[in-house]
Amino acid sequence: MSDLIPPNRNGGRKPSYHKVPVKTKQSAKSSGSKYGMPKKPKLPTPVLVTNILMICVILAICGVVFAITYNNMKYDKADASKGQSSAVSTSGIQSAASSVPQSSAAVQSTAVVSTAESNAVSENSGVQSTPTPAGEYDADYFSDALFIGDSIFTGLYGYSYIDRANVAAAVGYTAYGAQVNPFDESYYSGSAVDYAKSRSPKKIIIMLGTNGLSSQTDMDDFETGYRGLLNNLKKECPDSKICAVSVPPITADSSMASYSGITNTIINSANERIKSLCGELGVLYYDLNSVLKDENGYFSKDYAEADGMHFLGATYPVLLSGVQKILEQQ
Amino acid sequence: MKKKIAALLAAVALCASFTGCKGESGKSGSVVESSSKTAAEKAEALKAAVPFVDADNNEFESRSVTEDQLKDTLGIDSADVTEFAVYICPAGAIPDEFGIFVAKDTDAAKRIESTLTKRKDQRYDSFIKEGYKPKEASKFEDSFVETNGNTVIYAVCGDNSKAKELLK
Repeated sequence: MSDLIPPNRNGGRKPSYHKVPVKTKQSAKSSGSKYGMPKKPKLPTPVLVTNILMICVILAICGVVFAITYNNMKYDKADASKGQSSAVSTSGIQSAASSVPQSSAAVQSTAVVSTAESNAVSENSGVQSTPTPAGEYDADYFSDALFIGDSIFTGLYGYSYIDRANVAAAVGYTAYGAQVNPFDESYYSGSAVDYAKSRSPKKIIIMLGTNGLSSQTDMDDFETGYRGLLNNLKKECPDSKICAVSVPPITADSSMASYSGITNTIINSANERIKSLCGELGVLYYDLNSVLKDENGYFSKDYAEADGMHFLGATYPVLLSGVQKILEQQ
Repeated sequence: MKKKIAALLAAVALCASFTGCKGESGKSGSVVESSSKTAAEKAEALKAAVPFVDADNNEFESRSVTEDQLKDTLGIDSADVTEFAVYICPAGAIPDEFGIFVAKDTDAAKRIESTLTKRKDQRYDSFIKEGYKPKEASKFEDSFVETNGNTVIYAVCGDNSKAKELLK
């Protein structure tokens, strides 16, 4: 019998068993893990409810806080943009970097505006200018002036540097057109010369010539048109100081210039004619063209709008500063 | 029973949190409908959606017109307007501009519509008919001046249908 029964490893003694807890239905259910993880204590129901409630309350508070913060941010942004578009004038020294292109300060104020430290950014074009030459001018100095020009001069009031009433300018305007065509029929029914006569300004500033200049332009015809304008203004406004501003340059890659066929060589020829004419008729001449050119002889991108022909807002103080200096010399 | 109460309270708290997201009187936030936006908000949205770009893809600055400039720039009497927002190209290089006006009454709305229509026609003549920038002609093709009650909207820009959608 003993041969049939294998001996125990402990030498036939009564086997000793480790004490293993007997799993009851209850203990198996509450043990939490079949891998022997420790048993988790069950939360009492009131505690569970309180926890859920607290989470819900926190969520609700977060929602309210988020809504209030979002609203405040939104209104702050709206106020900021409103403030920009209705900037109030101030006196004293201003930097054009802060006043251009949004501020309307220059129009009503007696401010001396400077672009000396300008680092203006054109909001939508993404073009950032480098520091520009000093462009200090007295906005009040131009309160009795009239600016006659093309679309570039519409920017004088477009950017709020000069009051609308002091500008007779139109898209596509020419020296000939300024004598016979209305610059804005909804504003004034007559030509720029008619308007000058009606206002008798103490200063008249002209910048015309870009429109109509191309490789086909007959410079004698160009001069004839310009001469007619100057003579008409001298006749109608004999007490006015008149200053002719040179035709501004174009950039090397000006899309507008490539369309119209205008080049800097043509512009330079036109400016020689204007300068000569001014000397002959005793009219002041301001060479803005040279001021706006870069080292390669093109319209500096620090001053040029995206089409390489029109002005950035920050360019107008440079124009006004130069014109004021020329007029004051007389 | 306790579970049901807890679930009910949780649901109530969750609803309260979503109500908070709606904001004050529904003026702002993601649930605000287009019609409840102010003129400035609509114009700003359009400014962001349709930048002032010419036919050669040059982007120009846009600038809002202030109340002081309304008469001189657009020929509109500010006394006729209770709320407005207008953007123009201040450089005068492209014909792009748009705006929304809430007039004080229907007669004022008619005056505003008439003034804007005349201005739009004049700018078409200057920019396109007289050959200044004929490449911008497409901007006038579906340009519009529309009046609905006391509200007048108008646009000449690169995407006039989008402008109409956002200004309405």
